[in-house]
Amino acid sequence: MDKVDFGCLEDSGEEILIDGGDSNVSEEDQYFDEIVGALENILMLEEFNDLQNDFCEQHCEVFEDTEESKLVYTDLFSQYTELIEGYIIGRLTLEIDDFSMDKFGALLADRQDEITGDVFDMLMSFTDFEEFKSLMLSHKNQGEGFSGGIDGCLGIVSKENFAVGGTGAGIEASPMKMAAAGRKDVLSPASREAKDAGLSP
Amino acid sequence: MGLLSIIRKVKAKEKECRLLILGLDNAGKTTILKKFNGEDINTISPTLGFNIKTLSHRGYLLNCWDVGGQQTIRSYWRNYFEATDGLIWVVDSADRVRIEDCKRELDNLMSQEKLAGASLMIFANKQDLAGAMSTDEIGEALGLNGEKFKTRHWSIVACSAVEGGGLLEGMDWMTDDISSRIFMLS
Ligand SMILES: Nc1nc2c(ncn2[C@@H]2O[C@H](COP(=O)(O)OP(=O)(O)O)[C@@H](O)[C@H]2O)c(=O)[nH]1
Ligand SMILES: [Mg+2]
Repeated sequence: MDKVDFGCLEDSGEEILIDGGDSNVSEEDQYFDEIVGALENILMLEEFNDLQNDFCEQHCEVFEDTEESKLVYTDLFSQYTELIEGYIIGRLTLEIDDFSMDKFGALLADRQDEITGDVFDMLMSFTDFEEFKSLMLSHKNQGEGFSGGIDGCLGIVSKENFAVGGTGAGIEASPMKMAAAGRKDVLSPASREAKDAGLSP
Repeated sequence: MGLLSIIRKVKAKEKECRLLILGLDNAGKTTILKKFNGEDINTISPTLGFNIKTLSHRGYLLNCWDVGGQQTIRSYWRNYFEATDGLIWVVDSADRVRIEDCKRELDNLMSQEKLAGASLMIFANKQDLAGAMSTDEIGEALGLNGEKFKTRHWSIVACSAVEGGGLLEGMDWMTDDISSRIFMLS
């Protein structure tokens, strides 16, 4: 698996604010919320986005837009999920003092109804083979234009967001939606123009 | 289990299951899947990779994985075992020559730990062909009454993918069996 350097990030010291005065908030809830907050941040990191894009660019060539899938896609899909999972767990371990996957896993299982929203939708999408296949196909179709456009978009979003101080509120909805939309909107006018202008092969 | 598989498991819609469709090449796996899904079955070519289809059946979402069965690619089957709730084993009932191969491959699957909990539905396909073996004959040839199948939930159903007969019965058994094991809808 690719190695990722976790040392080069500036925003790793961020903490999610929790209302300490509320005695109804159990230690478990705090632990859970802290991890979910960290996940929100991780999924928006440029480094994370680059990791995905690099993988897609490296491997998209073999993908074809046919109903039948090649056996090699399955191998690539498990490499992809391992890469993503490895990165996320690595960052969580860095950012959460006593991070334990077993503990978090048990909390997740207890909170079936709570694990909704963009963060979990995005995490779910990483486990979906069909989504993986269409992501690879769109990378292949867009060539250079695709990754350039998305990188730019995400970069602006996250900088803005972190600039307002990351108090939690701002992180919640919009940037994540844009990130998700950006990934799907492969035929955005910008990238099409780039393609037309001959910026991609 | 890792983060992503835990989230998938917890978040998965309640009545969703994963079916793996295997069998020797030319058994009719792809035809069964397409016929069941109401698609054209006249232009099917041998599967070199795999097909995925999500079928909705009696309130269940069935994620079906149909993997090619040629000898050279059978070693890849294991990459598809993970999280399988039900195994659909398709037999060409008219292929007496390869029924021994068919038994050997099925035996091999039955000893795979990752498939230990999976329900087994055997389609005795191509019943429309003259000389097709009956389910009794196939059951005998595959040794379904033997030790290997004692603890397994299994069933064998005669069908014809081209005519459509038997497919519904088989899928009904599969969803019933999985739901009684997993969802415990009592
Ligand atoms: N007569 C008859 N032919 C069938 C039946 N099911 C499949 N076939 C034929 O068997 C061949 C192999 O089918 P296919 O679905 O590609 O098999 P697979 O390799 O197991 O996916 C094709 O020519 C099908 O038309 C059936 O029930 N009856
Ligand atoms: Mg096939």
